[in-house]
Amino acid sequence: MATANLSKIVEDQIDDLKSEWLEEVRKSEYLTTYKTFSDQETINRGEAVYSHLRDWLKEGATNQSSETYFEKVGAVRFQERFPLTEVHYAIYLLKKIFWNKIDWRDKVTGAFETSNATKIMNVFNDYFDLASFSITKGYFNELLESISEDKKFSKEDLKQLLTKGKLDPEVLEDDEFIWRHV
Amino acid sequence: MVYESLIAVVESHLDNLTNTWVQEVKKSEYLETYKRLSDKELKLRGNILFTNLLNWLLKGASNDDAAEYFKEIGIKRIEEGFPLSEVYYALYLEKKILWSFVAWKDEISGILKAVDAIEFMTVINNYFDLGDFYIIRGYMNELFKHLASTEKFSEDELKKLFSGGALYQESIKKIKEKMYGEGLSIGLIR
Repeated sequence: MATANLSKIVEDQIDDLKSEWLEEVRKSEYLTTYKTFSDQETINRGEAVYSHLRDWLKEGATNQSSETYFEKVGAVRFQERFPLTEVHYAIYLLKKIFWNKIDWRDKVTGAFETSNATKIMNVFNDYFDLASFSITKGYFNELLESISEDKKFSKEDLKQLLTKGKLDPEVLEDDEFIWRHV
Repeated sequence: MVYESLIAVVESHLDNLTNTWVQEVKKSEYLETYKRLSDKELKLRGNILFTNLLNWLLKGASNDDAAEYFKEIGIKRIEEGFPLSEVYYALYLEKKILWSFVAWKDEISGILKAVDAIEFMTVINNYFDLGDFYIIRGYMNELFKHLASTEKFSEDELKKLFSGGALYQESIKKIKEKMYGEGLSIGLIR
């Protein structure tokens, strides 16, 4: 019921979602990289997140499919030179816009039932929170990949940088010490 | 009402929340670095997570305090060698656990109404969304400083790695004001 409810919002209100997304981007002082795109390109990017949400819900809302998709988004955003915080802020805005579209009433009774609301919240949060998580993974793997390719900064340098703290570096395997997909 | 109820949930279940977080960390396939910590250290970190949330609520839920706290977390975690994605996921678990306790309270007592649940989730989401944001900022800024200090990267190379936008270098001082203004306009900050 929760997945059907959310999926229907995307289908019924996609035009509103897209236009509100564009409006938020345009008035945001923070989304400077997004602002370099045309209106249509900006809309396409917002729509992609909502369309993927709809497909994800229809396919049973499994974390794996979403994880793969958003890791790729993170990697591409790094290649496009987006600051990671800006990508997160964009996801946050998309989440906020969608949150305001949710009808919390139960579809059968029409009443505001807590169990219905909590189920919707769980699905809603899982999608957007795990999207941000996977984007972070994808973005960082790409960032580190680009550093690794730079011969001036060796694997040993990375190891020293990223394992020098409280954790005991002795327990870390050389081949997997960091930045593999966690 | 919502703040008071959240305070009550965290205060009365602090140990349970902490222990549940520790269990979830140990079960998670994503948190390899956290799992290398001793049980005692892990529990301490879990306790700090929820205690800070509690303190934030008790002090009036100041976004300035939360921003400063999370920025420090981001800096500390990179110094400890945590991947950013793990730090994010650990925080996500905290949110999930907190929410499960709020929802559980409803199932047991029936006190929580749907409209309250929505309000609860708004407060929780605000805290954690802000937290994610500042952790990333603290972490990335510290990574930038580390790499710059190696003197193995030219300024141009660093700029390429750490996209400017509204985040780094000269704009760093302005960003809090910008976020604050935008947070106000879209309801992130009350």
